[in-house]
Amino acid sequence: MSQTSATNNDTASTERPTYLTPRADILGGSDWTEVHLDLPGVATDGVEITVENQLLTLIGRRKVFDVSGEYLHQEIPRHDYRRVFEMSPKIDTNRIQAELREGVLLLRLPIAESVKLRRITVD
Amino acid sequence: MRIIHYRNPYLRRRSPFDPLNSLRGEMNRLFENNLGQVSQDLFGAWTPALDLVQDDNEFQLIVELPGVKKEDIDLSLLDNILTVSGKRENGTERKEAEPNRNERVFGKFRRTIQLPIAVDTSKVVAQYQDGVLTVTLPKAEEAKPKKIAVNVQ
Repeated sequence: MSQTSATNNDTASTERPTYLTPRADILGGSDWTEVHLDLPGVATDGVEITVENQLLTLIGRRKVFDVSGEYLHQEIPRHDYRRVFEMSPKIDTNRIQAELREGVLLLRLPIAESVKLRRITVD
Repeated sequence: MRIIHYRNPYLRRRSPFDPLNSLRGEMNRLFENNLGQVSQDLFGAWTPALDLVQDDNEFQLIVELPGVKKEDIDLSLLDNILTVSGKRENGTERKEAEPNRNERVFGKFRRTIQLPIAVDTSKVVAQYQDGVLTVTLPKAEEAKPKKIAVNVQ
């Protein structure tokens, strides 16, 4: 009995969820980088952004479709989204901003003040 | 009673080919992608993915339109043919920015789907939230399947 329950737990933990890779645009300026990601079907509470070392991991969980009935046509995948970006060490990870609008996530990655170009005048 | 070494049949054993397996998974994912995505990649035009669901009383059309403004979506219904069209503008273009990755598709889109039976056009409701358009189309009373009681003599 105890063994069967252990088996169930093991299968649950080894099962790898399937993710979709959301499409992304990356724009770079002199003092910021912007990442735009298409996340249709994801609400604000479904977005999970983690920063670890230089890795920015984004997970977008879809809202559960409350659709009952028979599918006559189905193209929309049901998978959640996941994408990992490796950030430049120049990014100030403490000031990253995220905004979700109409299913598009906008990440603003500011470049740290300490690495910006500074001109020093000679007296 | 014997003691048998228990081996979990579901546990995946690590093999030196694991990286290859994950590559194979990626390739499979590429080919399993829906038709809309494939045509988009082939022809460059944007083909938003859509679902059509029916129950006894209504149809529900769900279209993924991330980043499209509500006022840029056009819905029309003629002879049971529902057309969703519009345009997606890239509002993020900035002169000083250097794009170093462009994967998202912008521009006009148009999808047409034929409904199998007539709908009550006066009761069609459309809702747009989180980049997903949901259109509810109640079936016309006269087109609904009716149950006819059979009296067995």
